[in-house]
This record gives sequence, structure tokens and C-alpha cells, in this order.
Amino acid sequence: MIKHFLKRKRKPANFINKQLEAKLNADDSKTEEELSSNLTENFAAIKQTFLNCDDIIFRELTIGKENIACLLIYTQGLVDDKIINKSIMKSLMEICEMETKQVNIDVIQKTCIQIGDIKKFTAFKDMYEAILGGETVLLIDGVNKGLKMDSQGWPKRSVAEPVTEAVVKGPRDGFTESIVENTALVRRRIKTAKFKIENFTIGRVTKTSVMVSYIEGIVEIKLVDELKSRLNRIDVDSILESTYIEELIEDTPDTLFPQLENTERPDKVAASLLEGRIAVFVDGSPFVLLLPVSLIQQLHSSEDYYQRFPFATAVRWIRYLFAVFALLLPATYVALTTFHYELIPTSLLISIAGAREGVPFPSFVEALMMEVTFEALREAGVRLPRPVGQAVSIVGALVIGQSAVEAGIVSPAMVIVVALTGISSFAIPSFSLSFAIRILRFGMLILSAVLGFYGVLLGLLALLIHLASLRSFGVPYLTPLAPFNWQDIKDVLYRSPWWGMKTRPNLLGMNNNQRQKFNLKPRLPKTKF
Amino acid sequence: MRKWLGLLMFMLAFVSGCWGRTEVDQIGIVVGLGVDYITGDQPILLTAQVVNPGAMGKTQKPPTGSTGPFIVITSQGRTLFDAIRNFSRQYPRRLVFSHNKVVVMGKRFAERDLPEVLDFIERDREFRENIWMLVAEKSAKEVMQLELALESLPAIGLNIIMKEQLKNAFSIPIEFYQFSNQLKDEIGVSVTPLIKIENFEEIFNEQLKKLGDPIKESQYSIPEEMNIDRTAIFKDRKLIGSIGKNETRGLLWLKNKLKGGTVIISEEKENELSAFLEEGKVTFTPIVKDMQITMKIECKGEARINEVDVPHLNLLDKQVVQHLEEQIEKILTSRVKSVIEIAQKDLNADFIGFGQEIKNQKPKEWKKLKGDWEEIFPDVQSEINFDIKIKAVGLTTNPE
Repeated sequence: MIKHFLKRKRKPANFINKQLEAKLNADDSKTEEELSSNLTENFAAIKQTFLNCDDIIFRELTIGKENIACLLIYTQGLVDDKIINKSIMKSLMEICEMETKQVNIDVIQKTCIQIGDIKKFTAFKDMYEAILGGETVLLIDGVNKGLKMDSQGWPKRSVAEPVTEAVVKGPRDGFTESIVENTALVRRRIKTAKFKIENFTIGRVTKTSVMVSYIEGIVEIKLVDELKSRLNRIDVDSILESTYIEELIEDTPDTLFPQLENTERPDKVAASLLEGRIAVFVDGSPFVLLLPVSLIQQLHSSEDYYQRFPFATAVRWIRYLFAVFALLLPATYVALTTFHYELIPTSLLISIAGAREGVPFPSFVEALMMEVTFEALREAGVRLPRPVGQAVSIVGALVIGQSAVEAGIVSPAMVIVVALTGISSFAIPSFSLSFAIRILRFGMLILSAVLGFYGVLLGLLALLIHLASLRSFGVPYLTPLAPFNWQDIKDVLYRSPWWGMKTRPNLLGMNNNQRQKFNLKPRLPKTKF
Repeated sequence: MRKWLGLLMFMLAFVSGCWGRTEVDQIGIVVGLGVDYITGDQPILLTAQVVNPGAMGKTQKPPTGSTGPFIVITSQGRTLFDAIRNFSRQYPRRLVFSHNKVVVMGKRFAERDLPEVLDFIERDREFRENIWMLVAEKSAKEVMQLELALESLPAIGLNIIMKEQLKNAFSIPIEFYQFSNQLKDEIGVSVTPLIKIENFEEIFNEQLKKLGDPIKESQYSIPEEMNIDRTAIFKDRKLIGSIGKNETRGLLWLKNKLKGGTVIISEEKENELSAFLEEGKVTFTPIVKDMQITMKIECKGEARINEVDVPHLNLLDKQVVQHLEEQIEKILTSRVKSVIEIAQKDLNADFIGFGQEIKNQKPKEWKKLKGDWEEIFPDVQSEINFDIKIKAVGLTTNPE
């Protein structure tokens, strides 16, 4: 039986079901037609397309002395009514008063409409995209072209403090669901023409706009090309969140470790761009993707750079320590109390043994039970409505922390271990990384219960080998520790003060390495003042 | 191939089983072990002090009737290992010896069967090399059963007492590896502290009664106490004798282990003065001429005056201080002399370390001497020179 499974060959990766592929492509062909000059014909065709789309508004009107028939099309709710009324309708009505000029499409485009972004188009496809993207379309009888005018104004969330990456000191603005605002938040921080934003439209159905941004002259241009080619490969029906993109472009899809960083913070995006990294904005998601990323970077918080450096260094070390705790604490506890008693100081061993007296389960089962309960509690806390969430966590803490101990099902030492592990996993700034570590913790727990520290060491070795083999867009995941780079240690073992941040990260910022003048360390002035 | 390897790894991890695994509440933590020699066909008697964690972990006192913080269990066997194995016949928990702090040897055992315990402890995986070695004046079982005031686990208390010796020495604590090494090397002599159990309650009450102040039965009686101020001397892997309190103090000087100690000077008949030795250092200079060896012993130390019961003594006067210094030196010299005498005359065991000094300083001569050291040692001449400086007289200057 096992032999059968082992021998069975995988389907090749480029296996494509041709029938399904043909079906997918069939939908797109119709809209390639061009506009005709007859308005009634166009109108009928559009009506046919937007059949049963009651939120599309068709406004027929006539302009000029010749009473030329026109058609205004827009989507209700996606446009700003003020723009339609004041800048478009009013201007068009006023054309009647202009006597000297012949009314034609160029005149309307250039002299009448009081809107910044106004373009001509000829294909139905462009028109539909414009209408559904919140633009207003003007068709004129007798002309085989149309005008699309920017009038977007849909309901949006205002810029708010990022939920997942709160800081004590530092900017408080976070990204929203609107891609235009998101790019603007970054553009406001980087006022140079070298800051490029390139637009891609991905998703057969959703037609989501995805923007790739980088700073020319700092970024490795091969990296940008690679990213673009990976984005162009994507052919899916929808992109609703940036994770869709993330999973479709990462180097190693079958690993627990995130190879792209998610952030809600415009300042973090700006800082990353200045290090030579690339940001990918996705419409509809407040999470911007940053790439490439290393393991160490995900243990850094943007606040590290806003606090003074001694404090930031200390906090960073606490974070490293707790990342190790999050991975190994329960495993270490189980290994110590079931295999290696000689490693525990005598008095501690006695109190642990005393606390465990009468606990019915082996400590591995106890640890597993508690860890799973903790994860469930955390998940429930996220899902529940906010006012209820608090009640759940109180009940959970009481039930697990106190009652279980009093009933003698769980030992108090284990409660401490699980609580400490829980805290540790929240000390990791990157949510995706902390998730990976949380899952690995269970593996370590099993290994330690079976083989003790020998098992933990085996697990750690396997983990190290795996991490060393990972790449994020070709950049080693353990950089700058492996391959080792002495220069980059300034941002790993300690957070160098800003006058010491002389160079950009080695692998990313090679093109434009120097960040600042070399003698910026403040000194007392020689002359008294 | 990779798949097979994966399967192999999986089996390695999960088929191997958990043979080494015991939950921490299923082990018996041994903190002290006593070894005695009794007659019969199972001559080794082991007494282990095992922690009762259930009673230790709780803050409240255990309900009456239940056992205290430790349990004393015994086992008998033909050899030491046999006796340790036999523990499992009578007690359900696996005994773990890796937290053992002390090994107390009964006097009879130390006189007879010592090499066995040395070899076993060295060979065994669980025993640590830094456990304290002690000798009981009578049986080790008695020591193991003794409760210690202020410390719930007597063996742990013993461990603390031994560590405390580094600051306030009154005997020479020795760890297993030192003990074993000293017995194995060419001189083959070592020392351990000797534990005597005394019932001070009885002694004191008796004395008070004599003076006319008898004490009624009190619920707070002083338990029997360990008295560790003598030293057991080992030679040829056997206990050969012991030295008393004052000789032990002299030995502390010679062993360079002096880290404090009181000296009481009788200035006049009933007026006394105590000085505390802060630190002492000794240097040996062996002079070897033909077969005659003279050992020059230079002792330097600092003292402070703790308690003066001599009226009108001017401690600020240099001459007075010098006189006191001489007094101290005299007492100390006599202590050191008596140790050397015992070592040379009574026991003929070089536990004071003359041989070691010659070996370190004059290795060439030592090569010639070491074969006959046992004959040469009693005739080694010694010149003792003390130099004590009184550095402080305390917060007040002169007594009223």
C-alpha cells in the first residue's frame, strides 16, 4: 500500500485542462468592439451589456444650438454627485451660450468640462472599465469616440491608526482600503520623481488595480523586472486582498514562513523603499506587501527606529528572546520535567514536582491541552464582537488559570509556561511570522516529549536548514546572518543610532549604498556660544 | 529515496518510544545519601533522604498525620550498586540521584570499604562530582535521620553549611572529586569534616540545673544538632583517625583555607578579648639538604577586634596593639604546631600537605623523596612564623 503511494508520480506542474482554459477565455472576446458613431446603436449595445444593472445611470441630454444628442453614463454611488452636477452637467448646459465655436468633442474636452483627468476612448472595453471604476462617460451623437471623466467619490474609511502595528512613538496614520489614498500617503513622505508607481490590473472579474512602487536608483532593477514577470503570470478571477498576490508570487509556496512582509504603515513602506525594497499596493486592502524580506526584519518594529537607540536595542533583544520563548518554552519545560531533571536547580525541581503532584496527565498532554485551549481562546477573542471578546477572555483566564489548577487537572507551573508563551507570541511584531512560530511550537513540543532535548535539537537543526534554504525574491532568508555581513549587523544585534546608519542593507541597496555623509555624529561645538 | 528518508526520520522520531521518560511527579529526588557498613551477607546499608514534594510545594503546613518535607528510606545490599537497585524493591518511585548534595559515610564503612563508593560515584551517570563528602562519628543513618532547624531538608541545609565554610571556616569541606583525587595520588591522604551529633538540650539543661535554674518542660526544645568542627583523616583509602577542633583550625591555616575565625585572648585572669581573623595566607618554603628537610611556614593574616572585656585598654596605643598581635600569634602558632605534631607523630599521614608543597616547588627532589615519603615525613622539621596585623578595632575605640 505504502509502496503504491510512494511510486505514484505527481502531475507535472504545468498541467492545464484545456477545456477549462477555453471556457475561461470565452468571456473576454466580446468587448473588443469599437464604438460606432451612431449614438442610438451604442446606447442599445451598452444597455444590453448593463442589463439588470440598475445602479448604472444613463442621462440623456442635448447640448449646443444644434441640439446634439448626448449620453452621460455613470455608476450610482461610485461617483461624487457634486462633480456630476457642478463640473459636468452645468458645463455641458452652458455650451448653448457659446455661439462662436463649433461644438465638437475636442472643444468639449479642452474648454468645457471643469475636471482634471479627462481622456478620449474608442473601445467598449475601455468604456465599461471606466464606468465601473467610478468615472463618468460622455458619448456624443455622430462621434465614434467617447470622453471619460474622473468623478470618483465612493464611501471610504478615513485614515486611521493601524490596528495591527500600533506604536507609542511615531506616525499614527495607516493605510485604508483605497489604493489611491494609500499611494498618496507614501508619496507624501517621498517627494521625488524617482519614486515610481506602476499600475497593473489583475483579476479577470474583479479587475483589481495593483501598484508596484520602488525608488529608481536605489532598487535593484532586476528585482523589479522579476516581480513584474511574476505579476504578469497571475491569471485569476479575483484579487480581494493582498494575500492573494502574496501567495501567487512567493518563492517557496509550501513553507510556514512568510516571504513577503505585510504592513499597514505608510512610514514603514517609505523606510523599506529607501532600503531598496519594493512595495506592492493592492486596491481594497489596507495591507501593503513589502519584498524581499528577511527573518530578522520581521522581528523589527518600525518603532525601533523612532525610539532612541539604546532603548530600541534593548527592546529588540527582548523581542529576540521572546521569539525563542514562543518557539521553545513549552518544549523546554516538557523536556526538562520528563527527561532532564538534573538540569533544574534542586529547589525549583522540588517545587515543580510538588505542583505536579496529583496531576492526572503527563506533562506533554497537559502542555498540548493548554496550548490548544490558548490558541482557541485567542481565535475566539478575535472573532467575537468586541464587547463580548473581553468577557470571553476573562472567563477563559479564570476557567483555565484558576479552576483547572484548583481542580488539580493542570499544574500551576504549566499555567505560567503557557501564559508566558502566549505573551511571547504577541511580542513578535509580524503576525504572519508569529503564526509560523506558533505552529512550529507544537512540533517542537511533540519532539521534546518523545526525545527530550535531543529531539528539540533535531527540530532546531531541521528548522535551521529549512530557513537557510529559503529565499525571498532570491534574497537569502537569514541575511545578514547567513550569508554574514558585518556592515548589516548595525541593524540586527543593535539598532545603530541614525548617524551610524551609513549604508543601506548590503544585498538590497548595493546600487546606491551610501545613505548619508560619514561624519554626522554630533559633537560639541569648538567655540562657545 | 527522499520519501524513504522521510519515513525513516518519522520512524526514528515516533517508533523509538519514550523509554527514558518519567514524569517529574513519579521520581524520588534524593538529596542526601548515607552509607553504612553492617554485618551479615548484605553488609551495605544505604539511607537516602528523599524529598516529599507534596509537602514541600504547599505553603500551608501539611495536615497532621501526613509525612513531613522529606522521607528517609533504607536499602541493603551486597555492594553499593546492589543496595541502590534494591531501593526499587520497596519504593514505587524511581530514585534520581542527580540532585544529591551530600554523601555521609558511616565510621565503620569509612574504615573498611571506601574504594567501592569512590569507584561507583565516579562511574555512575547520575551522581555529580561536586557532592560533599562527610564522615559521621557513628553511623550515617543517624545523620540522615536528623532534622535540621530552619531548613526543611537537612541535606540541603548541610549543603548550605558546607558552602558557608568558604566565608566562615571551622572545618575543611571537600567535594567528591577532590577527595577522590587526593586519595588516588602518590601521597594518598585526604580529609573530610566529621559530623558529631550532640544533644545540646540535655547538656544545657543539665548545666542550668546544676547552677540552680532548672528548666521546665518546654514545647520548644532544641533538637539534636550536628556539630561539624572536627576533621577525619584518610590514608590509603581508609579512615585512620580524626583531629579535634583546635587542630582543625590550625589545619585551616596550613591548607590555606582560612576565611575567618575567632581567637580569644585571655589578657588577665577573667578578662577576655576576642579577635576575628579576616584573612590568612600561608607560604611554605621547603629546604632540602641531603635527606633532612626543613619546612618554613610563613603565615600572614589580618584581624579585627570584636569584643574587649579588659578595662582601660588603650586600643589606640601602638604598643598595646602590638602586644595583642603577639598574643594572637602565640595562640595560632600553638594550634598549627599541634596539628603538625599529630600528623607526624600520631598518624604519620601527610594531610597537612608538606609533600604536595615539595612536589610543587622542588619536583626534582620530590622524585627522590616520594618513594620513602612515609619514612621521611615524621622527621620533617618545621619553622612556623606568624605575622598578624590588627587592622580595625570596631566602631568604638576604647572600652569604658
